[in-house]
Amino acid sequence: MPERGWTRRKFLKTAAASGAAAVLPGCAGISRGSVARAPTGVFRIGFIVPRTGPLAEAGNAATRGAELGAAEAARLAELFGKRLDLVAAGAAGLDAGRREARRLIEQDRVFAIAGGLDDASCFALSELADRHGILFLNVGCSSDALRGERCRRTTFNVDASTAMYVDALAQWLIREAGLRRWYFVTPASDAGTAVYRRTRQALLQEGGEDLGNAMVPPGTTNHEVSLKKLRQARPDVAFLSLVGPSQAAFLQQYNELGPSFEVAGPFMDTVQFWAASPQRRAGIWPSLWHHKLFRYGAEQLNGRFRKRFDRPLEARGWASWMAVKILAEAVLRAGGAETSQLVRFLEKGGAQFDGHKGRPLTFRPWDHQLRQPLYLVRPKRQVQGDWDIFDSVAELPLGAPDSSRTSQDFLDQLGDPQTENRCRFVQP
Amino acid sequence: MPEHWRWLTTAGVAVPLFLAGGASAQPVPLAYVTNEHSGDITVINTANDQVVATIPVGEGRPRGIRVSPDGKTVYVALSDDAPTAEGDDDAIAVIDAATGTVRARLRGGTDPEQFGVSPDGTRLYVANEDAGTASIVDLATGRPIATLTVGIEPEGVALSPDGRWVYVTAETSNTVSVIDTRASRVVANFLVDIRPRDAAFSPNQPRAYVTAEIAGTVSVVDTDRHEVIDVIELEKGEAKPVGVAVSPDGKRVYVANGHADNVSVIDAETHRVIATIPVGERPWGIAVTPDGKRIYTANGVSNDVSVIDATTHTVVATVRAGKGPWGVAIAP
Repeated sequence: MPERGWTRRKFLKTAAASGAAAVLPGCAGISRGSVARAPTGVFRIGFIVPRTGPLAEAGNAATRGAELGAAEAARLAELFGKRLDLVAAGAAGLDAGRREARRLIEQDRVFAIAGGLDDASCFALSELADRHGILFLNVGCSSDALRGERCRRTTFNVDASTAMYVDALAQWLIREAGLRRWYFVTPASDAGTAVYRRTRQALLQEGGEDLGNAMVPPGTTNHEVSLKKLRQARPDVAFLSLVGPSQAAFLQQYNELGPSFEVAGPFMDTVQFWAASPQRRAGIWPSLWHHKLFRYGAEQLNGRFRKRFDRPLEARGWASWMAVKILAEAVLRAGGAETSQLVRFLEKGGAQFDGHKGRPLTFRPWDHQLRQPLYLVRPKRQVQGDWDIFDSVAELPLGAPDSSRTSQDFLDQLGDPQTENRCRFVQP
Repeated sequence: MPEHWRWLTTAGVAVPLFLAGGASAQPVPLAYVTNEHSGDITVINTANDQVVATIPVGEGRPRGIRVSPDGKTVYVALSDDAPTAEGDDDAIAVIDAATGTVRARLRGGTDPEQFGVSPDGTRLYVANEDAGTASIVDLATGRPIATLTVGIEPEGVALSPDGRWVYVTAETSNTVSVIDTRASRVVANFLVDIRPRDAAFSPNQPRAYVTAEIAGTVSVVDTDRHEVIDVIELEKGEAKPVGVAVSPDGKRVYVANGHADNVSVIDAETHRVIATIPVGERPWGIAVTPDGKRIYTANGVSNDVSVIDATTHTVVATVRAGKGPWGVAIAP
């Protein structure tokens, strides 16, 4: 992601201009810095995503979700005589993002930051929040490393991990669709290789077959060679770890070729698909959210969002809404915004949140990943209107939950189990 | 016609509702079931579990239902398909139990779903889901006299037996707002488990029970302090508790577990689940007969009503209803 200066900074709710600042007490094992906090009874959440550059539209979508979350969190806090403000900042670059995050912490005195739409930003925000002893809630980075070797005890992940997305695809494509023979198209990078390895593991566990792996230059938009290999291999599925323009170009060339195999991959940005021409839409993709969900309050959430913004709620917006909701409820239920108190609360299995997905959402204590159902979507053949471009294919994990196992066990079918996870938190 | 006979009309056919003849006959409690999709009320004679009438309610989806303390009036929450705006179909229908006709339609705010009737029969307390408010309606005039801010997406409404407190559950903020009916204002809010759908007071103990659909739990509330004192997990959290009712003697709490297709029976003293009873598909509304011997569930997917024997904890009858049974109320 190109580094650019901060272009927009918006206070969604103006914080009190003055007030006695309390100094955060030492938070053993967590707090490395000293942070001034908002006046008693006022809780501020910082929110940082790109608002310009290639991720601008995704950032705008995320910000809309955060705004709805903030409005609802403010109402909730008010019921208990407290005030909750969101301080949102737009960002398109790493260094400027760090600067702005420091401002949110030191001047706006936020107790947590939510945001991040690309891995580099998420790593930076995670590190900075940890150094200053506040929480970071990741809304848009699926990197397994963020839940693995680069995990931090103050970081909690609302976006699903790549491992979860991959497991969801493997479950459905193999068990339900019978598409067992996969050929991979992978960017030649450490991150691409990591995704390939994790996906291959899921494929083999489900009884699938790895037919080959075409490594392509990161960011390439010429997929002629890969498509030639695919035609020769004749797989059931071409599994793409591509993102952004590279992914869009592949889908266009795939559609021009005349598809004889299915396309799938873990990385799908609904906003990008909305903007793409129909020739650049294809495949089966996992998503955190779909605007046609209707059970367990999903219809009402979709309605509230659409009423406020005149467009549907998508995955980034949902994750941002969810992050703000989690932080607000955590403050009320934990009895304050002190970091170690919140970390302990969020790590508890009893800290449940309702994302309108029909199951209690909890954080895995070993990697701070939010357990949650995922949805598979596929572009519609006939599209009416600007937004309704996907059919919902399935909800994952597969199988009907029952009373023989907990909801947590059921949802842990997606993602790395504790025994295979490389996250080792620094204990207090 | 003896005075103790009442009549409901279905398609012009009068149906006697007090079924035992003679001056000494006791009125038979009737169960009223809202059918969300067919837009009507199924009336069941609880003496023999026969359908005795079907009452069309006009425009709007009927969901929440209550009977006035004197049994003469049935109130039904109606809503349209646009939950975010108040339309003509959003109303509280007032049905004359004697004739089975809709006597009036009160304004119910946006998307009215659940409500409660004060023990003296003078007021309705209505949860307005989209607005995040609770409306107090004066039944003498049919007009709202107060609108109170409660949690986000309020749904369940329950009144204490003495009429002093109204609990309003809010399914998105996971809160219960406490309305002091003397002051007509919210005096407390407290958090419960996620997605609280309904509440019920004990008739003789300072306790209330709040279901949480996604958590799969029932919170036990001390109604003197308005505090949660215990949380009962149902089926390892895999139940989807929605409707809740308490037996007339206060000893049993019955929970309709929605998508789990069963009913949990809780001992109100020990807070333990003593039975789980399979019923029809997706039971939401639940009610107990005045003598405490039968429990009725409105089963939204199987389009029927399960009748449970409170002693044996078995389903003793299944009554066909309209399409999409949602709520059930039994006349006192």
